[in-house]
Amino acid sequence: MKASKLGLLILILAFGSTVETAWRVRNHLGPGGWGWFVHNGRFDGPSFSFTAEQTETVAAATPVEIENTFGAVKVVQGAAGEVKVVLRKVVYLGTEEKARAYADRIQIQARREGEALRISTNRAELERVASAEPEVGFETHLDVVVPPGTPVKLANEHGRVEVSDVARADITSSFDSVRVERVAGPVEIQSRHGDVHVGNVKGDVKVTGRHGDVVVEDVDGRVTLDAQHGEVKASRTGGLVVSNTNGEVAVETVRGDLEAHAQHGSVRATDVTGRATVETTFDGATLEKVGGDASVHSEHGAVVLIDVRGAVEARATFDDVTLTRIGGPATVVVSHGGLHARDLEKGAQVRVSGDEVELEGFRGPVEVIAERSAVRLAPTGAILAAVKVTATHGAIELEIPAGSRIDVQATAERGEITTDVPGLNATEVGTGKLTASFGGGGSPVVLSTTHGDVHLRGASAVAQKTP
Amino acid sequence: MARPFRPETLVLGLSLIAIGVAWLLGNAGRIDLLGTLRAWWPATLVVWGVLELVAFVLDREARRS
Repeated sequence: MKASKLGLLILILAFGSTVETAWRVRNHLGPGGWGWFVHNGRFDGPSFSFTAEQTETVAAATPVEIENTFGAVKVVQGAAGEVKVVLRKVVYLGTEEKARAYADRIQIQARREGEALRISTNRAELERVASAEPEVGFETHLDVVVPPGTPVKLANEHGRVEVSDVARADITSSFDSVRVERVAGPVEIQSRHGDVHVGNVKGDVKVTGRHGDVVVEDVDGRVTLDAQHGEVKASRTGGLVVSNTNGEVAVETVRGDLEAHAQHGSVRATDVTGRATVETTFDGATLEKVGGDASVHSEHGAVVLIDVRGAVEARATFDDVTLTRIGGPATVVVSHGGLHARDLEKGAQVRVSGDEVELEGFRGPVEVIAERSAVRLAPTGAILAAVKVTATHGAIELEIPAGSRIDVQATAERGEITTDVPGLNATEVGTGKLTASFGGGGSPVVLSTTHGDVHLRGASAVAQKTP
Repeated sequence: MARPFRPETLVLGLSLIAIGVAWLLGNAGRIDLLGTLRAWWPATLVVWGVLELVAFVLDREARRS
Protein backbone atom coordinates (compact mmCIF):
# COMPACT_ATOMS: atom_id res chain seq x y z
CA MET A 1 0.00 0.00 0.00
CA LYS A 2 1.23 3.43 -0.88
CA ALA A 3 2.24 5.74 1.92
CA SER A 4 -0.35 8.28 0.74
CA LYS A 5 -3.15 5.71 1.05
CA LEU A 6 -1.95 4.61 4.48
CA GLY A 7 -1.71 8.22 5.62
CA LEU A 8 -5.22 8.98 4.40
CA LEU A 9 -6.64 5.89 6.08
CA ILE A 10 -5.06 6.87 9.40
CA LEU A 11 -6.38 10.41 8.95
CA ILE A 12 -9.94 9.23 8.33
CA LEU A 13 -9.92 6.79 11.25
CA ALA A 14 -8.47 9.44 13.56
CA PHE A 15 -11.16 11.89 12.47
CA GLY A 16 -13.86 9.28 13.05
CA SER A 17 -12.52 8.43 16.50
CA THR A 18 -12.45 12.11 17.43
CA VAL A 19 -16.04 12.59 16.32
CA GLU A 20 -17.20 9.48 18.19
CA THR A 21 -15.40 10.58 21.37
CA ALA A 22 -16.84 14.08 21.15
CA TRP A 23 -20.30 12.60 20.67
CA ARG A 24 -20.01 10.41 23.75
CA VAL A 25 -18.56 13.20 25.88
CA ARG A 26 -21.36 15.53 24.83
CA ASN A 27 -24.03 13.00 25.61
CA HIS A 28 -22.66 12.31 29.09
CA LEU A 29 -21.33 15.68 30.14
CA GLY A 30 -22.26 18.44 27.77
CA PRO A 31 -25.60 19.94 26.83
CA GLY A 32 -27.85 17.66 24.82
CA GLY A 33 -29.78 18.41 21.71
CA TRP A 34 -32.84 19.30 23.81
CA GLY A 35 -31.03 21.88 25.91
CA TRP A 36 -30.42 19.90 29.11
CA PHE A 37 -27.25 18.36 30.34
CA VAL A 38 -25.96 16.47 33.32
CA HIS A 39 -23.57 18.30 35.59
CA ASN A 40 -22.22 16.67 38.76
CA GLY A 41 -24.95 14.06 38.63
CA ARG A 42 -27.76 16.62 38.21
CA PHE A 43 -29.75 17.82 35.28
CA ASP A 44 -29.30 21.42 34.31
CA GLY A 45 -30.88 23.73 31.76
CA PRO A 46 -34.42 25.16 31.23
CA SER A 47 -37.04 23.16 33.15
CA PHE A 48 -40.69 23.14 34.22
CA SER A 49 -42.23 21.55 37.33
CA PHE A 50 -45.51 19.67 37.62
CA THR A 51 -47.06 17.81 40.55
CA ALA A 52 -49.05 14.60 40.90
CA GLU A 53 -50.50 12.92 43.99
CA GLN A 54 -51.59 9.43 44.88
CA THR A 55 -52.89 7.93 48.11
CA GLU A 56 -52.80 4.25 49.03
CA THR A 57 -54.69 2.66 51.92
CA VAL A 58 -52.48 0.36 53.98
CA ALA A 59 -52.66 -1.75 57.12
CA ALA A 60 -50.67 -0.75 60.17
CA ALA A 61 -46.91 -1.41 59.97
CA THR A 62 -47.01 -2.16 56.24
CA PRO A 63 -43.42 -1.89 54.97
CA VAL A 64 -42.92 0.78 52.35
CA GLU A 65 -40.26 0.36 49.69
CA ILE A 66 -39.31 3.39 47.61
CA GLU A 67 -37.16 3.48 44.51
CA ASN A 68 -36.09 6.57 42.66
CA THR A 69 -33.31 7.57 40.27
CA PHE A 70 -33.09 11.31 39.62
CA GLY A 71 -34.65 13.46 42.34
CA ALA A 72 -34.95 13.91 46.07
CA VAL A 73 -36.95 11.58 48.27
CA LYS A 74 -38.48 12.71 51.55
CA VAL A 75 -40.32 10.39 53.91
CA VAL A 76 -42.24 11.78 56.88
CA GLN A 77 -44.86 10.52 59.28
CA GLY A 78 -48.55 11.24 58.70
CA ALA A 79 -51.96 9.83 59.50
CA ALA A 80 -52.55 6.15 60.17
CA GLY A 81 -53.92 3.86 57.50
CA GLU A 82 -52.71 5.60 54.37
CA VAL A 83 -49.59 6.32 52.40
CA LYS A 84 -49.68 9.58 50.49
CA VAL A 85 -47.24 10.15 47.62
CA VAL A 86 -46.60 13.56 46.11
CA LEU A 87 -44.53 13.44 42.94
CA ARG A 88 -42.94 16.63 41.70
CA LYS A 89 -41.90 16.18 38.10
CA VAL A 90 -39.22 18.50 36.76
CA VAL A 91 -38.93 18.20 32.99
CA TYR A 92 -36.00 19.70 31.12
CA LEU A 93 -37.50 20.87 27.84
CA GLY A 94 -37.39 24.21 26.07
CA THR A 95 -41.11 25.10 26.32
CA GLU A 96 -43.77 24.59 28.98
CA GLU A 97 -46.10 23.01 26.46
CA LYS A 98 -43.60 20.32 25.52
CA ALA A 99 -42.64 19.86 29.17
CA ARG A 100 -46.28 19.45 30.27
CA ALA A 101 -46.92 16.93 27.52
CA TYR A 102 -43.93 14.91 28.62
CA ALA A 103 -44.73 15.30 32.34
CA ASP A 104 -48.16 13.76 31.73
CA ARG A 105 -46.37 10.57 30.76
CA ILE A 106 -44.44 10.45 34.08
CA GLN A 107 -46.50 8.55 36.63
CA ILE A 108 -46.35 7.31 40.19
CA GLN A 109 -46.27 3.55 40.46
CA ALA A 110 -47.54 2.06 43.73
CA ARG A 111 -48.04 -1.69 43.87
CA ARG A 112 -48.13 -4.44 46.49
CA GLU A 113 -45.21 -6.82 46.59
CA GLY A 114 -45.80 -9.39 49.28
CA GLU A 115 -46.59 -7.48 52.46
CA ALA A 116 -44.84 -4.34 51.24
CA LEU A 117 -46.08 -1.35 49.32
CA ARG A 118 -43.58 -0.52 46.59
CA ILE A 119 -43.46 3.06 45.32
CA SER A 120 -41.56 4.17 42.24
CA THR A 121 -42.11 5.94 38.94
CA ASN A 122 -42.37 4.68 35.37
CA ARG A 123 -38.94 6.16 34.54
CA ALA A 124 -37.57 2.83 33.30
CA GLU A 125 -40.50 2.45 30.91
CA LEU A 126 -40.07 6.01 29.62
CA GLU A 127 -36.34 5.51 29.15
CA ARG A 128 -36.96 2.34 27.16
CA VAL A 129 -39.26 4.30 24.87
CA ALA A 130 -36.74 7.15 24.80
CA SER A 131 -34.20 4.95 23.07
CA ALA A 132 -36.31 5.33 19.91
CA GLU A 133 -36.85 9.09 20.27
CA PRO A 134 -34.87 12.13 21.44
CA GLU A 135 -33.84 11.80 25.07
CA VAL A 136 -35.59 14.01 27.62
CA GLY A 137 -34.09 14.74 31.00
CA PHE A 138 -36.45 14.76 33.97
CA GLU A 139 -36.33 14.56 37.74
CA THR A 140 -38.84 12.87 39.98
CA HIS A 141 -38.96 14.25 43.51
CA LEU A 142 -40.99 12.10 45.87
CA ASP A 143 -42.58 13.28 49.12
CA VAL A 144 -43.98 10.23 50.87
CA VAL A 145 -46.15 10.47 53.99
CA VAL A 146 -46.31 7.16 55.83
CA PRO A 147 -48.35 6.01 58.85
CA PRO A 148 -46.69 5.88 62.28
CA GLY A 149 -44.57 2.77 62.81
CA THR A 150 -43.75 2.18 59.14
CA PRO A 151 -40.57 0.34 58.17
CA VAL A 152 -39.02 2.05 55.15
CA LYS A 153 -36.65 0.66 52.54
CA LEU A 154 -35.38 3.24 50.11
CA ALA A 155 -33.02 3.25 47.12
CA ASN A 156 -32.16 6.47 45.35
CA GLU A 157 -29.57 7.69 42.88
CA HIS A 158 -28.80 11.32 42.16
CA GLY A 159 -30.94 12.92 44.81
CA ARG A 160 -31.12 13.90 48.45
CA VAL A 161 -32.76 11.49 50.87
CA GLU A 162 -34.55 12.55 54.06
CA VAL A 163 -36.33 10.07 56.29
CA SER A 164 -37.85 10.82 59.68
CA ASP A 165 -40.22 9.28 62.22
CA VAL A 166 -40.29 5.74 60.89
CA ALA A 167 -40.01 2.32 62.51
CA ARG A 168 -36.84 1.32 60.72
CA ALA A 169 -34.86 2.55 57.75
CA ASP A 170 -32.82 0.73 55.14
CA ILE A 171 -31.37 3.24 52.69
CA THR A 172 -29.14 2.98 49.64
CA SER A 173 -28.10 6.26 48.09
CA SER A 174 -25.63 7.63 45.56
CA PHE A 175 -24.50 11.08 44.58
CA ASP A 176 -26.26 13.11 47.25
CA SER A 177 -26.77 13.44 50.98
CA VAL A 178 -28.78 11.23 53.33
CA ARG A 179 -30.47 12.48 56.49
CA VAL A 180 -32.27 10.10 58.84
CA GLU A 181 -33.89 11.22 62.10
CA ARG A 182 -36.12 9.86 64.82
CA VAL A 183 -36.20 6.17 64.00
CA ALA A 184 -37.71 3.71 66.47
CA GLY A 185 -35.71 0.71 65.25
CA PRO A 186 -32.53 -0.10 63.38
CA VAL A 187 -31.05 2.00 60.60
CA GLU A 188 -28.84 0.77 57.78
CA ILE A 189 -27.42 3.17 55.21
CA GLN A 190 -25.17 2.67 52.22
CA SER A 191 -24.09 5.90 50.66
CA ARG A 192 -21.68 6.83 47.88
CA HIS A 193 -20.67 10.36 47.04
CA GLY A 194 -22.70 12.14 49.68
CA ASP A 195 -22.81 13.16 53.32
CA VAL A 196 -24.75 11.08 55.82
CA HIS A 197 -26.45 12.41 58.95
CA VAL A 198 -28.20 10.12 61.40
CA GLY A 199 -29.84 11.37 64.59
CA ASN A 200 -32.14 10.10 67.34
CA VAL A 201 -32.26 6.38 66.66
CA LYS A 202 -33.52 3.84 69.19
CA GLY A 203 -32.04 0.79 67.48
CA ASP A 204 -28.69 -0.13 66.00
CA VAL A 205 -27.14 1.94 63.24
CA LYS A 206 -24.95 0.69 60.43
CA VAL A 207 -23.55 3.16 57.90
CA THR A 208 -21.31 2.46 54.92
CA GLY A 209 -20.20 5.76 53.43
CA ARG A 210 -17.87 6.65 50.59
CA HIS A 211 -16.74 10.09 49.53
CA GLY A 212 -18.69 12.05 52.11
CA ASP A 213 -18.83 12.95 55.77
CA VAL A 214 -20.72 10.75 58.21
CA VAL A 215 -22.34 12.26 61.31
CA VAL A 216 -24.19 10.06 63.80
CA GLU A 217 -25.80 11.47 66.94
CA ASP A 218 -27.98 10.21 69.78
CA VAL A 219 -28.21 6.50 69.08
CA ASP A 220 -29.38 4.12 71.78
CA GLY A 221 -28.13 0.97 70.05
CA ARG A 222 -24.80 -0.14 68.70
CA VAL A 223 -23.27 1.83 65.88
CA THR A 224 -21.09 0.49 63.06
CA LEU A 225 -19.57 3.04 60.70
CA ASP A 226 -17.47 2.17 57.67
CA ALA A 227 -16.31 5.29 55.84
CA GLN A 228 -13.77 6.32 53.25
CA HIS A 229 -12.73 9.72 52.02
CA GLY A 230 -14.69 11.78 54.52
CA GLU A 231 -14.80 12.81 58.15
CA VAL A 232 -16.67 10.76 60.71
CA LYS A 233 -18.31 12.24 63.79
CA ALA A 234 -20.21 10.16 66.32
CA SER A 235 -21.81 11.61 69.44
CA ARG A 236 -23.85 10.04 72.21
CA THR A 237 -24.04 6.52 70.87
CA GLY A 238 -24.09 2.99 72.19
CA GLY A 239 -21.10 0.78 71.52
CA LEU A 240 -19.28 2.07 68.49
CA VAL A 241 -17.20 0.38 65.81
CA VAL A 242 -15.80 2.84 63.29
CA SER A 243 -13.36 2.54 60.45
CA ASN A 244 -12.28 5.35 58.19
CA THR A 245 -9.72 5.80 55.44
CA ASN A 246 -8.47 9.22 54.42
CA GLY A 247 -10.46 11.15 56.97
CA GLU A 248 -10.64 12.09 60.61
CA VAL A 249 -12.67 10.31 63.26
CA ALA A 250 -14.17 12.34 66.12
CA VAL A 251 -16.10 10.54 68.82
CA GLU A 252 -17.89 11.96 71.84
CA THR A 253 -19.74 10.05 74.54
CA VAL A 254 -19.94 6.35 73.81
CA ARG A 255 -22.05 4.27 76.17
CA GLY A 256 -20.09 1.06 75.71
CA ASP A 257 -16.96 -0.03 73.93
CA LEU A 258 -15.23 1.90 71.19
CA GLU A 259 -13.33 0.27 68.36
CA ALA A 260 -11.80 2.64 65.83
CA HIS A 261 -9.60 1.93 62.83
CA ALA A 262 -8.31 4.86 60.81
CA GLN A 263 -5.86 5.17 57.96
CA HIS A 264 -4.39 8.50 56.98
CA GLY A 265 -6.56 10.23 59.54
CA SER A 266 -6.60 11.07 63.21
CA VAL A 267 -8.88 9.64 65.88
CA ARG A 268 -10.19 11.77 68.75
CA ALA A 269 -12.50 10.25 71.31
CA THR A 270 -13.81 11.61 74.59
CA ASP A 271 -16.02 10.06 77.24
CA VAL A 272 -16.07 6.34 76.47
CA THR A 273 -17.66 4.33 79.26
CA GLY A 274 -16.28 0.95 78.16
CA ARG A 275 -13.11 -0.29 76.57
CA ALA A 276 -11.46 1.70 73.80
CA THR A 277 -9.44 0.08 71.02
CA VAL A 278 -7.94 2.42 68.45
CA GLU A 279 -5.61 1.93 65.50
CA THR A 280 -4.38 4.76 63.27
CA THR A 281 -1.79 5.25 60.59
CA PHE A 282 -0.11 8.44 59.46
CA ASP A 283 -1.91 10.51 62.07
CA GLY A 284 -2.41 10.57 65.80
CA ALA A 285 -4.94 9.23 68.29
CA THR A 286 -6.29 11.06 71.32
CA LEU A 287 -8.50 9.43 73.93
CA GLU A 288 -9.91 11.29 76.91
CA LYS A 289 -12.11 9.99 79.73
CA VAL A 290 -12.18 6.26 79.12
CA GLY A 291 -14.04 4.17 81.69
CA GLY A 292 -12.42 0.84 80.82
CA ASP A 293 -9.15 -0.27 79.34
CA ALA A 294 -7.61 1.51 76.40
CA SER A 295 -5.52 0.02 73.63
CA VAL A 296 -4.10 2.44 71.09
CA HIS A 297 -1.74 1.74 68.23
CA SER A 298 -0.53 4.51 65.96
CA GLU A 299 1.86 4.16 63.05
CA HIS A 300 3.56 7.45 62.22
CA GLY A 301 1.41 9.32 64.70
CA ALA A 302 1.25 10.44 68.31
CA VAL A 303 -0.82 8.79 71.02
CA VAL A 304 -2.41 10.88 73.77
CA LEU A 305 -4.39 9.24 76.58
CA ILE A 306 -5.99 11.30 79.31
CA ASP A 307 -8.07 10.07 82.25
CA VAL A 308 -8.21 6.35 81.56
CA ARG A 309 -9.58 4.30 84.43
CA GLY A 310 -8.38 0.91 83.26
CA ALA A 311 -5.22 -0.54 81.85
CA VAL A 312 -3.50 1.14 78.95
CA GLU A 313 -1.65 -0.38 76.05
CA ALA A 314 -0.09 2.26 73.81
CA ARG A 315 2.09 1.68 70.78
CA ALA A 316 3.46 4.41 68.53
CA THR A 317 6.06 4.82 65.86
CA PHE A 318 7.79 8.01 64.76
CA ASP A 319 5.99 10.10 67.36
CA ASP A 320 5.45 10.38 71.11
CA VAL A 321 3.09 8.78 73.58
CA THR A 322 1.59 11.04 76.25
CA LEU A 323 -0.28 9.56 79.20
CA THR A 324 -2.10 11.56 81.87
CA ARG A 325 -3.97 10.15 84.86
CA ILE A 326 -4.02 6.45 84.06
CA GLY A 327 -5.85 4.25 86.58
CA GLY A 328 -4.56 0.83 85.51
CA PRO A 329 -1.20 -0.56 84.55
CA ALA A 330 0.32 0.97 81.43
CA THR A 331 2.18 -0.87 78.71
CA VAL A 332 3.93 1.41 76.26
CA VAL A 333 6.05 0.63 73.20
CA VAL A 334 7.45 3.53 71.19
CA SER A 335 9.81 3.40 68.23
CA HIS A 336 11.48 6.63 67.19
CA GLY A 337 9.60 8.64 69.78
CA GLY A 338 9.36 9.34 73.46
CA LEU A 339 7.03 8.87 76.41
CA HIS A 340 5.67 11.60 78.64
CA ALA A 341 3.49 10.29 81.45
CA ARG A 342 1.89 11.89 84.49
CA ASP A 343 0.03 10.22 87.32
CA LEU A 344 0.25 6.52 86.55
CA GLU A 345 -1.60 4.76 89.35
CA LYS A 346 -0.53 1.17 88.75
CA GLY A 347 2.91 1.36 87.26
CA ALA A 348 4.14 0.87 83.74
CA GLN A 349 6.05 -1.38 81.39
CA VAL A 350 7.84 0.77 78.88
CA ARG A 351 10.01 0.06 75.86
CA VAL A 352 11.12 3.23 74.08
CA SER A 353 13.71 4.03 71.45
CA GLY A 354 14.65 7.40 70.11
CA ASP A 355 13.47 9.99 72.58
CA GLU A 356 13.06 10.80 76.25
CA VAL A 357 11.09 8.76 78.79
CA GLU A 358 9.56 10.91 81.48
CA LEU A 359 7.34 9.49 84.20
CA GLU A 360 6.14 12.37 86.35
CA GLY A 361 4.13 10.88 89.17
CA PHE A 362 3.67 7.13 89.30
CA ARG A 363 2.82 4.36 91.71
CA GLY A 364 3.36 0.65 91.41
CA PRO A 365 6.00 -1.36 89.61
CA VAL A 366 7.85 0.23 86.72
CA GLU A 367 10.04 -1.40 84.12
CA VAL A 368 11.68 0.72 81.44
CA ILE A 369 13.84 -0.38 78.55
CA ALA A 370 15.16 2.63 76.65
CA GLU A 371 17.45 2.92 73.67
CA ARG A 372 19.00 6.22 72.73
CA SER A 373 16.76 7.75 75.37
CA ALA A 374 17.17 9.52 78.66
CA VAL A 375 14.91 8.28 81.45
CA ARG A 376 13.53 10.48 84.21
CA LEU A 377 11.35 8.97 86.91
CA ALA A 378 9.58 10.93 89.66
CA PRO A 379 7.15 8.84 91.70
CA THR A 380 3.99 10.27 93.22
CA GLY A 381 4.94 9.11 96.71
CA ALA A 382 7.20 6.66 98.44
CA ILE A 383 8.57 3.89 96.25
CA LEU A 384 7.07 0.65 97.50
CA ALA A 385 7.24 -1.49 94.34
CA ALA A 386 10.00 -2.68 92.05
CA VAL A 387 11.60 -0.22 89.63
CA LYS A 388 13.81 -1.48 86.84
CA VAL A 389 15.37 0.73 84.21
CA THR A 390 17.70 -0.41 81.44
CA ALA A 391 19.02 2.31 79.17
CA THR A 392 21.56 2.55 76.38
CA HIS A 393 22.98 5.86 75.24
CA GLY A 394 20.95 7.75 77.80
CA ALA A 395 21.01 8.93 81.39
CA ILE A 396 18.75 7.71 84.18
CA GLU A 397 17.39 10.02 86.84
CA LEU A 398 15.29 8.71 89.71
CA GLU A 399 13.67 10.73 92.45
CA ILE A 400 13.49 8.91 95.78
CA PRO A 401 10.89 10.45 98.11
CA ALA A 402 10.94 10.13 101.86
CA GLY A 403 9.22 6.98 103.12
CA SER A 404 10.51 4.78 100.29
CA ARG A 405 11.73 1.29 101.25
CA ILE A 406 14.06 0.13 98.53
CA ASP A 407 17.26 -1.74 97.73
CA VAL A 408 19.15 0.07 94.98
CA GLN A 409 21.49 -1.51 92.45
CA ALA A 410 22.82 0.98 89.92
CA THR A 411 25.39 0.54 87.16
CA ALA A 412 26.61 3.11 84.65
CA GLU A 413 29.00 1.81 82.01
CA ARG A 414 30.96 4.67 80.52
CA GLY A 415 29.12 7.00 82.84
CA GLU A 416 28.97 8.02 86.44
CA ILE A 417 26.56 7.65 89.31
CA THR A 418 25.63 10.59 91.47
CA THR A 419 23.24 10.74 94.41
CA ASP A 420 21.81 13.51 96.52
CA VAL A 421 19.43 11.45 98.64
CA PRO A 422 19.62 12.07 102.37
CA GLY A 423 19.48 8.78 104.26
CA LEU A 424 20.66 6.62 101.36
CA ASN A 425 22.80 3.87 102.84
CA ALA A 426 25.48 2.92 100.31
CA THR A 427 26.81 -0.58 100.99
CA GLU A 428 28.98 -0.91 97.90
CA VAL A 429 30.40 1.89 95.83
CA GLY A 430 32.64 1.29 92.84
CA THR A 431 33.44 2.68 89.43
CA GLY A 432 30.08 3.06 87.77
CA LYS A 433 28.44 0.88 90.39
CA LEU A 434 26.36 1.53 93.46
CA THR A 435 24.59 -0.76 95.87
CA ALA A 436 22.52 0.98 98.50
CA SER A 437 19.37 0.80 100.54
CA PHE A 438 16.88 3.37 101.65
CA GLY A 439 14.31 3.23 104.41
CA GLY A 440 15.68 -0.06 105.63
CA GLY A 441 15.42 -1.73 102.23
CA GLY A 442 12.56 -3.45 100.49
CA SER A 443 11.55 -3.30 96.85
CA PRO A 444 14.34 -3.74 94.32
CA VAL A 445 15.36 -0.69 92.30
CA VAL A 446 17.67 -1.74 89.47
CA LEU A 447 19.08 1.03 87.29
CA SER A 448 21.45 0.12 84.48
CA THR A 449 22.77 2.27 81.66
CA THR A 450 25.56 2.23 79.13
CA HIS A 451 26.90 5.45 77.71
CA GLY A 452 25.01 7.47 80.28
CA ASP A 453 24.90 8.63 83.89
CA VAL A 454 22.69 7.60 86.79
CA HIS A 455 21.46 10.23 89.18
CA LEU A 456 19.47 9.54 92.35
CA ARG A 457 17.73 12.57 93.71
CA GLY A 458 16.13 13.12 97.09
CA ALA A 459 14.38 15.86 98.96
CA SER A 460 17.57 17.50 100.20
CA ALA A 461 20.77 17.66 98.24
CA VAL A 462 23.82 16.00 99.72
CA ALA A 463 25.89 15.18 96.69
CA GLN A 464 27.91 12.03 96.74
CA LYS A 465 29.82 11.08 93.67
CA THR A 466 31.22 7.68 92.89
CA PRO A 467 34.89 7.55 92.03
CA MET B 1 0.29 12.70 -20.64
CA ALA B 2 -2.71 12.73 -18.29
CA ARG B 3 -2.07 11.99 -14.60
CA PRO B 4 -3.38 8.57 -13.49
CA PHE B 5 -6.62 8.49 -11.51
CA ARG B 6 -5.78 8.65 -7.76
CA PRO B 7 -8.76 7.74 -5.54
CA GLU B 8 -7.17 9.09 -2.34
CA THR B 9 -6.88 12.56 -3.85
CA LEU B 10 -10.55 12.42 -4.76
CA VAL B 11 -11.49 11.14 -1.30
CA LEU B 12 -9.51 13.85 0.40
CA GLY B 13 -11.08 16.53 -1.78
CA LEU B 14 -14.62 15.25 -1.37
CA SER B 15 -14.14 14.86 2.39
CA LEU B 16 -12.92 18.41 2.77
CA ILE B 17 -15.91 19.66 0.77
CA ALA B 18 -18.32 17.54 2.85
CA ILE B 19 -16.85 18.70 6.17
CA GLY B 20 -16.88 22.32 5.00
CA VAL B 21 -20.53 22.12 3.92
CA ALA B 22 -21.54 20.36 7.15
CA TRP B 23 -19.72 22.97 9.19
CA LEU B 24 -21.44 25.78 7.28
CA LEU B 25 -24.86 24.23 7.81
CA GLY B 26 -24.05 23.64 11.45
CA ASN B 27 -23.03 27.26 11.97
CA ALA B 28 -26.21 28.34 10.17
CA GLY B 29 -28.24 26.30 12.62
CA ARG B 30 -29.62 23.98 9.97
CA ILE B 31 -28.08 20.76 11.26
CA ASP B 32 -26.52 19.32 14.39
CA LEU B 33 -22.88 19.35 13.21
CA LEU B 34 -21.53 16.73 15.62
CA GLY B 35 -24.51 14.44 15.13
CA THR B 36 -24.20 14.72 11.35
CA LEU B 37 -20.47 14.08 11.32
CA ARG B 38 -20.92 11.18 13.70
CA ALA B 39 -23.60 9.65 11.49
CA TRP B 40 -21.88 10.12 8.14
CA TRP B 41 -18.12 9.88 8.65
CA PRO B 42 -17.96 6.11 7.85
CA ALA B 43 -19.36 7.00 4.41
CA THR B 44 -15.87 8.30 3.63
CA LEU B 45 -14.52 4.76 3.83
CA VAL B 46 -17.33 3.44 1.64
CA VAL B 47 -16.80 6.13 -1.02
CA TRP B 48 -13.07 5.54 -0.99
CA GLY B 49 -13.56 1.81 -1.45
CA VAL B 50 -15.87 2.38 -4.40
CA LEU B 51 -13.39 4.79 -5.95
CA GLU B 52 -10.55 2.28 -5.51
CA LEU B 53 -12.60 -0.32 -7.39
CA VAL B 54 -13.37 2.17 -10.16
CA ALA B 55 -9.68 3.07 -10.41
CA PHE B 56 -8.74 -0.60 -10.62
CA VAL B 57 -11.22 -1.21 -13.47
CA LEU B 58 -10.13 1.93 -15.34
CA ASP B 59 -6.49 0.96 -14.95
CA ARG B 60 -7.15 -2.53 -16.36
CA GLU B 61 -9.10 -1.13 -19.31
CA ALA B 62 -6.28 1.30 -20.04
CA ARG B 63 -3.71 -1.51 -20.09
CA ARG B 64 -5.84 -3.61 -22.49
CA SER B 65 -6.24 -0.74 -24.89
